[in-house]
Amino acid sequence: MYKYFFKRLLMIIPILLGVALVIFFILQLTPGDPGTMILGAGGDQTAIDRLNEELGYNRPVLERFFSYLYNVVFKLDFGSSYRTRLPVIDNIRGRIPVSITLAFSTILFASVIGIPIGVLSAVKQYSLLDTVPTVISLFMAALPGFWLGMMMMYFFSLKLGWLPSNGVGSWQHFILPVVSLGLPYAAQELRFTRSSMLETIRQDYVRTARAKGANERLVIWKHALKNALLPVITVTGGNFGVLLGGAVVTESLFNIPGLGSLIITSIKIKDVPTVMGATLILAFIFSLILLGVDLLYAAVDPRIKAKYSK
Amino acid sequence: MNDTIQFKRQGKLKEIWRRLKKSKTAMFGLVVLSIFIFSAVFAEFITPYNTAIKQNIRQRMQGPSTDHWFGTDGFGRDVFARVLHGSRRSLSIGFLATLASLSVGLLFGAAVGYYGGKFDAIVMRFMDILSAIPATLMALAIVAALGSNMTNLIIAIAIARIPAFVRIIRAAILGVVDLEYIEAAKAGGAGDLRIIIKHILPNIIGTLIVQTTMTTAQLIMRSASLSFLGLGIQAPEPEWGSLLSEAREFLRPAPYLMVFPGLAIVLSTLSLNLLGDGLRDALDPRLKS
Repeated sequence: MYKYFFKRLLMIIPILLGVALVIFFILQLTPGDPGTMILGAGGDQTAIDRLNEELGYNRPVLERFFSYLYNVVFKLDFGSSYRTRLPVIDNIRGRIPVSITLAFSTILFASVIGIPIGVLSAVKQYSLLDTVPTVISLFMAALPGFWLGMMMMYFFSLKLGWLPSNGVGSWQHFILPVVSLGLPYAAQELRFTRSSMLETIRQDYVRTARAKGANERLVIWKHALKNALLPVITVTGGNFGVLLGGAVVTESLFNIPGLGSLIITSIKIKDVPTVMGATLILAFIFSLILLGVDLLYAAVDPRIKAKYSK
Repeated sequence: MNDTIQFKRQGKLKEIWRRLKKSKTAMFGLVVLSIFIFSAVFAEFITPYNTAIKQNIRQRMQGPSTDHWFGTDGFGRDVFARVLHGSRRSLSIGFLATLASLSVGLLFGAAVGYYGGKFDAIVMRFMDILSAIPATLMALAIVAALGSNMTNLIIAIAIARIPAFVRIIRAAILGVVDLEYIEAAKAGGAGDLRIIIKHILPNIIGTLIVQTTMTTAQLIMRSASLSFLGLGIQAPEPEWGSLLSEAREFLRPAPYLMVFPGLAIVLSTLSLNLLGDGLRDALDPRLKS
């Protein structure tokens, strides 16, 4: 088992190299050079050239790519932002907690709502407790989070003045982003939990548990749910990774200084080191989460553990 | 012989349609979707494109009325016309991007699923790399690289979706490739291409259809969010995401502006999801939950 996970951990390295390559060359395709982006298109050409030289942008593409890789791999140096000239890593370090807070609270919110209701609607299949949540979740899954965010911003911030509409000063600042981002995910978790639970409660071991006289609540919430949660965990883990960097639209709507909004502003001004650094770190965390999900799987399910030890 | 096959196929389609018709939600989805597609196709006859982009400062920010069903925006343009003509772009971006990523995904997914081995390993590692980058960010970077217009938006969204399709199609093909009837076809001397097209694809067509409807819904939303960020369709061309982006500027004086483009996104994605759900049940009753 350790061998398997060590192998998986090693696999992250080529993936990150690949991500670096892909992003670097996509950025290379973007028109313009950082000198022009920073000084403006109408700027003095010699000043633009000088700036590009200072930034090292006048060197050939491959040379830039490999020297970037060399610095990252051997010196753990992610370079400096083209715009601010400050180390990229400092900017990213400040934003990671924000992104993690947003992603984690969103997942927590979605799970707290989605999983129990999902279990309930599976247990009471075809009753009102099933149909009403199912219909609502269908609507929720079709809602763009940023639209929900705009509507909630209008009502709760502009109209009623109950909640702040942007920034990250306090926990109240996170309520609107988390709820608007989380409701579609809650709907997804509800649907996953429901269908997985429906399958589980028809299994033999659940019948056995009932037959030996365990009370119904224990059977459902302990015996069945433990197994039914496996596919839900996979989806949730993936969602957490996606939310870390993919909450760009919500971050931009609520002015949240997270990784996603850093990447989008940096893409727009062709700040290559910042985009590279942020994307690589995101991809690294994402790969770790997927590995963690696998570990969790093995921890809960002895059958999977046995498969890995082979 | 050909006649019987034709007959059988028709029978199967009829059977699927019969099962689909039984699902009220799927029918609701189909009707709503048809209305969307119909009005997008005939948008020009319903209200000319000119009304969607002609500015009229004297009539700016008027709430919904009989003259302007959805009101007018910050430049006095008719919001109904803008949502209607926006649907042409939003829907075609969703459908075309789905078709593009499906075609590429089918090509690679079928090839790696069928041949396996080193080729499979190489392609799948490359897909691992692409999936380690959040799809929205990937699409964003590609649009930034290519420049913001409709074609590039479609390309960007489609590329970001390819890994998911390759995975799904590969898995579906792996599920049938070892079955006995494939072996029988091989023993009968059928070539690889013939086996893939004649014997494997018909078996996974259900998965493909369901994935196509669901993916279209997702991609409509993704294109809207990219346009919302200012990286998709550019003003004054209407698209649902860019309409919402404009509405954001007028959130306080004209809150109704955000309602209709948002509703259009919700209704179209909802109807696609409902139809997809219904199709899944109709195509494979065993999966019905």
